[in-house]
Amino acid sequence: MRSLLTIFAGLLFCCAMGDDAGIEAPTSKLSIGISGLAEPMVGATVNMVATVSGALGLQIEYDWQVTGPKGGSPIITAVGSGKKEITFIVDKAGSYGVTCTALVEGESKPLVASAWVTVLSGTELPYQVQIIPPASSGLPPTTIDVNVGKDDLDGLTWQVPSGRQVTLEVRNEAGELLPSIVQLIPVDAAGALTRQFDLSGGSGDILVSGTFDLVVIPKDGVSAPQMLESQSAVSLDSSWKVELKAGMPISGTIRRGTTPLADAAVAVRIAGVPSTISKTDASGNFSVLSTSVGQATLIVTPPADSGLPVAVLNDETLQVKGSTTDWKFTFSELQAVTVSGAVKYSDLTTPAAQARLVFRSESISGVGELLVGETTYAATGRYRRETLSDAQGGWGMGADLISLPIAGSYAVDIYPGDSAPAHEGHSSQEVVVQQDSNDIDLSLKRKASLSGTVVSYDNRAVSAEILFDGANAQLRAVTDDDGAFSLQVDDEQTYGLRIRPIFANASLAPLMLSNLVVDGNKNLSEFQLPQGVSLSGSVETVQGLAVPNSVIRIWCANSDCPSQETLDQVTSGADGSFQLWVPKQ
Amino acid sequence: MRVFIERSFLLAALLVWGSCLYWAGINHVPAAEIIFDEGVDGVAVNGAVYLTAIGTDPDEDRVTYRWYAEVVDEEGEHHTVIDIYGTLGKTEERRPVSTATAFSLQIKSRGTYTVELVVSDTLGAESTRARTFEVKNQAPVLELSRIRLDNGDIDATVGENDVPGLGHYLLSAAKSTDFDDGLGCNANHTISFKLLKPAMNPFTLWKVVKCDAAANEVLDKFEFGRASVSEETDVEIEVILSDLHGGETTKIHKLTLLPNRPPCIQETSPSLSQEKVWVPYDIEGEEGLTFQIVRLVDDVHETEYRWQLSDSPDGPFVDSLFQPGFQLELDAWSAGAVLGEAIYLRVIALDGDKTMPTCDVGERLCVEGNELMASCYRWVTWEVLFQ
Repeated sequence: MRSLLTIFAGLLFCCAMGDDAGIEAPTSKLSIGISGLAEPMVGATVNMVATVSGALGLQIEYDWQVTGPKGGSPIITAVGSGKKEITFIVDKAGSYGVTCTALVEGESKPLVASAWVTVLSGTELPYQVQIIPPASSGLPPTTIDVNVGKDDLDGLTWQVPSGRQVTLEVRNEAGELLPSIVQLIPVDAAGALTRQFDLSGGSGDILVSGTFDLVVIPKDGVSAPQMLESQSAVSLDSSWKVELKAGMPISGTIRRGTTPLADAAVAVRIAGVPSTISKTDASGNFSVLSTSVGQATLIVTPPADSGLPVAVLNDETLQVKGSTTDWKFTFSELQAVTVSGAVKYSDLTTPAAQARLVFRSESISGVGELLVGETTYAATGRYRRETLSDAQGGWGMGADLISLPIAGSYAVDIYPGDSAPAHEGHSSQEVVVQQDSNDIDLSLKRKASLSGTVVSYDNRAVSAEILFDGANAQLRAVTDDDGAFSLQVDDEQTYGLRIRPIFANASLAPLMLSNLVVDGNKNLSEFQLPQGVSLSGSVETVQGLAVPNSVIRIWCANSDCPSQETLDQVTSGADGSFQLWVPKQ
Repeated sequence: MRVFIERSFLLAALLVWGSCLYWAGINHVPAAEIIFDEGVDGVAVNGAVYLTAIGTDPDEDRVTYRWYAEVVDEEGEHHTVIDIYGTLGKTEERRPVSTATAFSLQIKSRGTYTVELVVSDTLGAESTRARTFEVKNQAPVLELSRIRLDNGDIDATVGENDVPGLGHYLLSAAKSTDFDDGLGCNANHTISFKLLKPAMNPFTLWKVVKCDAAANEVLDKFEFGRASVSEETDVEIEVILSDLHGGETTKIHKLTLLPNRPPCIQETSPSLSQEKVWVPYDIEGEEGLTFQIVRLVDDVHETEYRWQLSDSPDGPFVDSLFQPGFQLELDAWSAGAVLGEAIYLRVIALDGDKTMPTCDVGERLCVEGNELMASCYRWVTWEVLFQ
């Protein structure tokens, strides 16, 4: 893709007079544009031409101003006064600002138009920028190419494709409006978030862009959800009517051994689309509705007091081609076990009150079987149970008896309670539960201290913000006068660090580091921020509307760069403005 | 009578002839006068004085001009102005700096300047006129600007000088000028910052930051902030910028500190108005939904987010095990969701003081116009359906 920067430089920029209320609408418009190469090289002669529309036969006085790039020489002012075009030589790479003022005969207020001309040194490297507008904007993400050299680039205007607003109606087969939640899943749009709209009356306005899958979840609990794949926003009518198909019934029974299991929730997912949810009756009967065909995943959630795990049956050969009856799922008679114990702080001595314990097992084998016709399919079980330790650190006692569906290996996550000292952190333990006598000791893990220093490329202490992106938390720290920082984080986890100067005029590029591992207290090596080149401007729609709160990230798209990882990431301001920094080459 | 008239006429003729003889034989000295431009009284180093010569010659001869200039500096040393650009030096040679009718004398140093104009006619007659003017030190012009260093989201909406007390500010004199001395990092100037009001310093951050020559800074800066105030507090900071020649300018920077106000969630995904949200019950694939704070305003950007879950819209809400910041990936397995049963997800934004005053459930509009209301914290709750 050609850089929008290039397009920007080549575009005509115009401005009309008289934006004050009550002032007569302007009759003339001024545009300026570059003739020749949109991105000239250093040493080139640049020719800018002004065009005034709506002033045929009238005398026009022009005045031009050209300012060189930051640190550039010379800064040219009031050149080419009186002429329709100017010519100037660019002696330095970067962004030159060009402003033209035109006074049209008979008008009291001059027309003003500005443009930026990006001058390349020839040593620029190609970078890519990804812009992800907020999900609520309905605008799709976009990627932009930009050439970055040794000089700052100002006045960039990056455009994202527009979204469209359409009115969506969801109706059932009888033509009645069906209150629904609709979900739009972007297709081939990296970084885009899934968006939802609640059509409480069965209709409403939604924002669409690009290509997306539409999932409709009726709120009546009776109609079957449906997916409409690969919908193109541009080809939709402004009034979009979706009529849901009647669902195909899939029915059967759920048993525990030979006994019907009541109050179990049953659902089938086919090609990612859920069916309705059915609760089994006293005879263990269920019936769900699905609108899709293909490979099915059966999910059976037993009632909480059954002590059974959730059964998930995901077998490639379990295919649904139409309405199906007589699915027979039977839970095995698992032998539940009870567990209890105590949880301590990281000193392994002090009881940890109000610690949260989460027991998990994600692959319990032999949990049950589905019989369809003559074919049997095996299910696996998943079990998750949370509990809190008491004031003495005990758990699984009395009313809080913990029953696990079967003996075996479980993962336990232990999180400190609110009263725990700040240095107590999360721990993960693998416990093996026996068939009898399960008194299990658990403990928290002491947080690790991560400390470091941030300096500039010329070894000056830097005021910087440090963002720690860990598995369980995002933390923020700010360097002190000496550029030092310290963070208390959970031990034994992978994390990313983003180190960004607080002062924009520091001319330093941030550091973004990923896949780091916390392994105990660590004094990290000195972080040296490289000298930076700034890219600043604004994000807007093709209609020129600012796009605030967009995530913008930049990386080098050339194998000559030391890294092709993300170099900086910012969020556009309320007026769509941004400033990114990349290391100076 | 006739003889008398003839004799008188003859006498007059003789007088005219004699007079002509007299004027033809004696050259007269031209007159010299120097005109300064109006700006001479306030001229400073790096400025210029525009000088104009008025030379008149009674004989109406063509005249030429020679300008000489010297300066006695502040130490009493005499220097000759060697050229029109004001280059100073000591030389025995008396050399004109200009021979034009008018020229600009560039001023390169302080002191008492004497400008001498010599007007000569073509016969060598000349006269001299000397005038003096003073070039004194000019005090620097102090321009202050305050910028916010932390990312306060609505600072601009609370008035130019009404600022959140907990903010982090930089007081900069970078736009100051000194016409005769120029500004440069660690050279020629001193700048001081002093709190005049209130009597007790409310700021926990109060320090001078040395200028950074590498960043093209010219004066020390001042960082202050992090003041926890319970009521509006007027502040006055006296800033004095002095040059090395006794020039000094003082300004008082005034602002009003506002008590901390709670953050306000303004935009989310799913949207604020969407109360019911669907999350796929895909406990094996763990496909979920991203909940996101898209826009939040706060007077001090130290926001923490708490994502909480409950089985009931009325709570009690329990902190989610994951506190990932402005967004949460919620899936059925992590949430401990039960197929077909709703879970209520709430997100609360907290800032520095972390206290949670009571708040009417469902009250969401915490910004009226541009003003962030100080009544209470706000939150967003979604009913999440797992299917």
